[in-house]
Amino acid sequence: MPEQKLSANDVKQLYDRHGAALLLFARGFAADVSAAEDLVHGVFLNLLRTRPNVREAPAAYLYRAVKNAALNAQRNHSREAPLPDHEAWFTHRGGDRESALALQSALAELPAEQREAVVMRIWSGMTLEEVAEATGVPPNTAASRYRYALGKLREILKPHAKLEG
Amino acid sequence: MNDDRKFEAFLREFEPRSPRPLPQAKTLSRSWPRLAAAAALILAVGGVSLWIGRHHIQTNQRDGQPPALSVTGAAANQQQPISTISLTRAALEGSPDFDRELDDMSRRSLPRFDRKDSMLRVLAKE
Repeated sequence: MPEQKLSANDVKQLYDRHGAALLLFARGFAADVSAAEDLVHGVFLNLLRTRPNVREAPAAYLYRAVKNAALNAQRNHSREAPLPDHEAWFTHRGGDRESALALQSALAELPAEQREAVVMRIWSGMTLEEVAEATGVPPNTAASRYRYALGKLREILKPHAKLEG
Repeated sequence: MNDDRKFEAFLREFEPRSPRPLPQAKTLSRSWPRLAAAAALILAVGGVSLWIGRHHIQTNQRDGQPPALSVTGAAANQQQPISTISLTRAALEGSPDFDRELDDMSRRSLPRFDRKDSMLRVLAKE
C-alpha cells in the first residue's frame, strides 16, 4: 500500500466513520468509557497535529494506534483501580435494549483478539486482510479468529437473534 | 455462509455508542495567521504611539515650552533598556562587573532627585 499523508478532512472523515467502533474497541482496554474516549481523542488529535505518513490502511493504523495508546496508559496507571463501567456499549436500531445488553456481555466474554476481529469487521467494515494488518497476524489467523468469535456470539445471542425461519 | 451473512446483518443492527465530538485541535498551521495579525497590530500601535510621542515633544520644543517633568527614570529606561542577559551572564560568571552593572541599573531605574525638574524635587518644594 502506498504511503499517504492524511489531511485534516481525511482525519475528520475517519473519525466520523470509525470513531464509534474505535471507542467500542478501546473499552476492551480502558477502565471506563471516559478513559476509552480519551484514548480515541488522543489518537485523533495526534493525527491532526503531526499528520504522519500512513503506510497501511488508515483504519488499521487507527486501531493499532488506539491499542498502543491503551497499553501505554495501562502501564502508566497500573496502580489505579478501574471503576465499574455502567454505560451501555450499544443502542439497537429497533430499541431492543435487552439484546443490546446481551451483545455487550457476550462481547466482553470473548477473548480480546476475537473481540478485536469482530469489532473491526462488523462495526468498522474492514476486510479480513485489513484486520490481519491491524492486528499483525496472517490473514488466515485473522479469519479464523473472526469465525470463532462469530460462532460464540451466535451461540450466546441465539435467543435474541431469531435467525431461523 | 448464508447464516453468517444474516448474523452479521443482525449484529450491525446494534450501533456502538458514538464518542464525543473531537475537541478542536490547536494546530500551529491554524493559529499562525492570528498570531501574525496580533503581532502586526502590536507593532502598529507601538509605532503610532512612539511617533505621536516624538511629534509631541518636537512640537513643544519648537513652541519654546519646557519639556515635561521627568517623573522617574522610566523614559531613560525606554531608550536604554536593562540588559538582563548581560546581567545574568555576569552573575553566573561571578564577574566583578556584576556589582557595577547592578549599580548602574539602579541609577537608571530608580527616581532621580538630583535634576532640577525631577518630580521628587518638585514635591519636596511643595
